[in-house]
Order: sequence, then structure tokens, then C-alpha cells
Amino acid sequence: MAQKTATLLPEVEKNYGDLKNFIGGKWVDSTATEWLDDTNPATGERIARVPLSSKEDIDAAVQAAKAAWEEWRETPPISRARYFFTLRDLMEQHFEELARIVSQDHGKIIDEARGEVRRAIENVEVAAGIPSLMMGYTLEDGAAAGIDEEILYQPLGVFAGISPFNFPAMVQFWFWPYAVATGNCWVAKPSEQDPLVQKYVADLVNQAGFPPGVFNLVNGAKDAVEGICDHPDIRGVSFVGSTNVAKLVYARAASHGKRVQCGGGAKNLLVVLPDAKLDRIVPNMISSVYGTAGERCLAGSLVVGLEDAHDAVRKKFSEAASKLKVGYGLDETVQMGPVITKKHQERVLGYIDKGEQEGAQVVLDGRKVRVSGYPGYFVGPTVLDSVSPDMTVAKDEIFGPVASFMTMDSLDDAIDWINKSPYGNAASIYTSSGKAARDFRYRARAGSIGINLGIAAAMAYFPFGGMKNSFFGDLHPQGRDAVRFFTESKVVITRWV
Amino acid sequence: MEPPELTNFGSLVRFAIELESATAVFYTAAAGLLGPGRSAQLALELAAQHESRCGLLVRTRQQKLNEMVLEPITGLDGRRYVFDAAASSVGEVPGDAMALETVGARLYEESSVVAKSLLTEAARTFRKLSDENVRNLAALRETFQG
Repeated sequence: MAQKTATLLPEVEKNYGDLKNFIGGKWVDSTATEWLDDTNPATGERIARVPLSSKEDIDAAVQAAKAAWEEWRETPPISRARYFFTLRDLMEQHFEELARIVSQDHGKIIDEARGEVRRAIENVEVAAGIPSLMMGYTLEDGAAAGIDEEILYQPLGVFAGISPFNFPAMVQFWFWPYAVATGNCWVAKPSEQDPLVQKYVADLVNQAGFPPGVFNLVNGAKDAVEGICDHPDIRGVSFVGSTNVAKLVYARAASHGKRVQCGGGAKNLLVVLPDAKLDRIVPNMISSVYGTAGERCLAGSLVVGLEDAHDAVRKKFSEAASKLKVGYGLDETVQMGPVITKKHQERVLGYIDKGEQEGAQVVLDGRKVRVSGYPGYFVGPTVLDSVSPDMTVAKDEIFGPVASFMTMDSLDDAIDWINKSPYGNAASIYTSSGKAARDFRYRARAGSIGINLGIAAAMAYFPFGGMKNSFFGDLHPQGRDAVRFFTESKVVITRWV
Repeated sequence: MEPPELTNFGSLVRFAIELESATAVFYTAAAGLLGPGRSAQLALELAAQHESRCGLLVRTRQQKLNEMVLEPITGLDGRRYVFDAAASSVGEVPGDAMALETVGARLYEESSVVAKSLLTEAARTFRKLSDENVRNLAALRETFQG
């Protein structure tokens, strides 16, 4: 039984029952024959059952979206934007519930959950500017004297979004506000591991008055994903998940002629130069590596202190990491929560074991961490030192609270490592040198570059980066890229005779 | 009360809301104890102000955070902000009120320094609240001692 503390926030609900799908403006039963338990990662208790919906369920959602589309696309952009203003207000009103559900279902601490919901709202706010964002342009005599040329951006129809467990609220919002604001209809497929907040979101979307069928939600796993990739009436797919699945989704959806944008995994390097202000940057590095228990595609994973910075950084970092309070995310004094599932906990622990077996020195060992009153899936902050490039922990994405310290001789070597990595999601440099920072920014091949910042997460009005095996596609989520992804350009050349 | 654990932004704001809420209750009770007059009027005004500050803190927690820079907080010693908000007798109201405002001023001043490099907008809010506590102290001195 979990111990109550004065700083423990109440859960919105203890148990959310059997989840349904939201199709055509109504909650409907899934045709699923298989169900998955959704557990609270801190307590290990089941808090919902998730239907593993079939391709037929996906089809029902697509038909509802298709039926709604013509009328929705004819709704003027300013009118479409107003739905988002209403939704934004509702999300502000229900902010705390949304954040608590994220914390309860995913495990991240309440501060992080609030930060995540904030980012979701920011995407709604940006999408509400759609009349400006999707404007075309025109040029008189652009084609020839007396012949004008213009470009229009038009919606395509039905899009679908498949989101991962690590940001159960935010990632769907990287996509759907832009898709729907530009005049498309949407089918959301949240992660089957923590889908609860999207259930709450769908209720708010409904309350905001979006016409039935404009936003639909189907719970499920592999069958639902395949149903989305293969469906002839879905024009495009947005996805975030592991690199392996991202590749599969990209290839499968593209083979059916769809537009696809797929975010994948990462292995992000934090480079510390000897001139970095350690007292100032170590808390930021801690947040980068251990925030969301390391389950973040922008998380720092490899740490390199150049020259004499290595020992000093490792010492200060390890000291700070050892003080992190691990526990249930709804306890407001906790600084790191559990990982998502028992299976994932075993995977992360396996990586630490493997690192040790391959010769890494375990400076801080999170394998034995226990949280009184909470039998969930905790892994304590872990620091591995003397990690060499050939070790598994140097190459694989661990997706857990593990920092691997490596040594390199120079900034050139660090940049070379980043550029040779199969991943290209993010890379950060900590330095007081503008020249070094500029050099790093210019040369490092990663979609998000942090300068004295370990989580370089693009705001809603910028595209969320990713290169190489960290992103498949061309147009990224969020901002102007998203507006282009969800619209087709049409050139009109006019001659009056 | 036990010293609060101020380990991150959420726990800091939570404690601040507790302080504001308790202070508002204190002033409401104090106004009742003081009876009609200038002192009771000031107590009621301060009760309303502290109640309204709870809302400001909730908005700050909701809108002035950025998950990119949610770093653990170190350097705030909870023992410095322990407070007692029980209004026991008319004679103790001035001292208790000034003690509460002093704790508030200290909490927000020191929090604004911690938050400055993490969440600049939140730091501004804390500074504003600290300044307000200092002004409240002056008003209390003028009313009860002047």
C-alpha cells in the first residue's frame, strides 16, 4: 500500500475502467478481442484496460473523418481557429487534471507533466494562428505580362497520428492542431502504454465543439498501426517512436502513397569544455539525463568532458545525481519517477549490467533503488564511467536514467563522434567560448543543438528536429513545417482574355 | 510545522500557496479578533490580497514554466520558511502578522534568486510578491505601531 505524504497530490481517478474509442463525436466500444492492462508505473497497479483495436475500428474512424471532411475544409480558417481558442481555454481550466493523469499514467514527476501539458497548449495556441500560417502568395504578371500566378495551400483529407509513451499528452499536439486547423480531419492512436490523457483530451475536444468526425481517437497497438499505414483513405501519417518502428511505419505508409513523417530514437551527446561553468551547468545536465527518467528522445545519454573537465564534471554530476529524490511523480517533492513498465525497467537494468560486464565503471548504481510504499518500476540515477566507443551502452539508446561518461581528446573528436552516429536527434555543448559554440552549431549533424542547454526542445513555433535514423521524412512536426506537411500546394495561373 | 522540502519548482510553488492560503485565513480571523476599525480593515484587505496571490501562484506554476529548464532546486533551506499562522489573541495579531509577512518576503526574495537562472518569468513573480510583503510590513507597522 502506498504511503501518503503531505505533498502527495490526489489522482484524478483511481481507475479509468475499460477504454473506448472516440469516433464521430461519440465514445464507442472497440471491436477488440484482446486487451492490455495499463498500469501506474509507480504502484504497479492496473488503472485501466486498453482495447487493442482492430483494422475495422481504424476504418470506422477513417469513415467518420472522411464524412466530416468536406464541411470542415469549407469552414473558413478563422472559424476553424476559434475552435482552438475554445480548446485552449478548456485545457487551461483542466490543466492540473491533465498533468496529474500524465504523471499517474506515465510516471514522470508532476513538474515535468505540467511542462508537457504546457507544450501541448502552446501548439494549440500556435495552430490558432492558422489564417496567417497557411496563407499562400501571389505575383502579378508572375507568369508573363497579363498572366498572374499564385499559390494556395489546401488540406488533403484524413491524417493519422501515432504517438509514443514518453510524452503521452504532448506529441499528439505536435501534429493534430496543425492538421485540423489547416482543414484536415484526424485519427489519433496514442501509445497503448499510457493512453489515459488522450481520453481526457478527446472529451475537451468534444466540449470545445469541434464537429463530429473532425477528431477521432482509436486505442490500440500493432494492428491499429498497420491499419493506419495501409488504409487507402488516410492521406498522411505522423509518427514518433523507436527507430526500428519508425522505419517500418515510414516504409509501409509510403508504399501506400502517403505523406509520412516519422521521429525515431536517439543517442545524444553532451560535450563539456574546460571553460564551462560547472556550478551552473551540472543541474542542467542532470535535468537532461534524468528528466522523465531518461525516457526522452532529447535526453543526454553520453557525457564527454574534454581535457581536464572530465574528472571535475563526473564528480560534480555524480554527486548531484546521487541526491535526486526518486519516487511517485505525484509527490511534489520527488525529482525523478519510475520508468514506464516492468519490461522496460528490466531492459534498462540489463543495459547497466551489460555496461559493467563490458568494462564500464559503475560510479553511481541505480539498480538497487527501492521506494518505500511503491513497488513500481524504479531505476535510480546511474552513472557509468570509462565507457569506450565499442561498448553497447555507448551505442544503443537506453531510454532510462543512465549517464555514460566517455573521454575524447578534442572538440573535433566529439563532433566527429556525433556525425558518425547513426542517430541525429540532438547534441549539446557546454562552454563559455562563443567560437567553440559556433563551431559546434555549424558542424554537428543533429536536428536540435543545445548550447549550454541539455534539452534543446523546439518550441511549438519551430519544427522539432531530427536527422539520420532519428527522423524519416522531410517536413518535421510543429510550426511551419507542420503546416506544409498537412497541406498540398496548388499553383494557379490566371489569364483574363 | 515541519520544514518544507523545496526540491523543485512544483514543491516551491505548492509551499508558497500553502503560506498564502494560511496567511489569508490568519488575516480573516485577525479581523474578527480586532473588531471594527482601521486595523481590522487592513487585515481584511491583506486577507483578500493573500487569497488573490494564491491565484497568481497557480497561474505562475501553470504558465511560467518551461520543461526544458526544469532543473532540480538546491539552496533553499526549508527551515527558514517555517511559519505559524494561528491567530490566537488580539495582542498577538500585530507580531504574528509581521512574522508571516517577513517569512513571505524571505521566501520570495530567496526563491527569486534561485529561479532567476531557471525560470526568469517565475523569478519576476517571486520578486513582485516579496516587494508586496515588504510593503505590507510597512503598512502593518504604520497601523499597529504608528
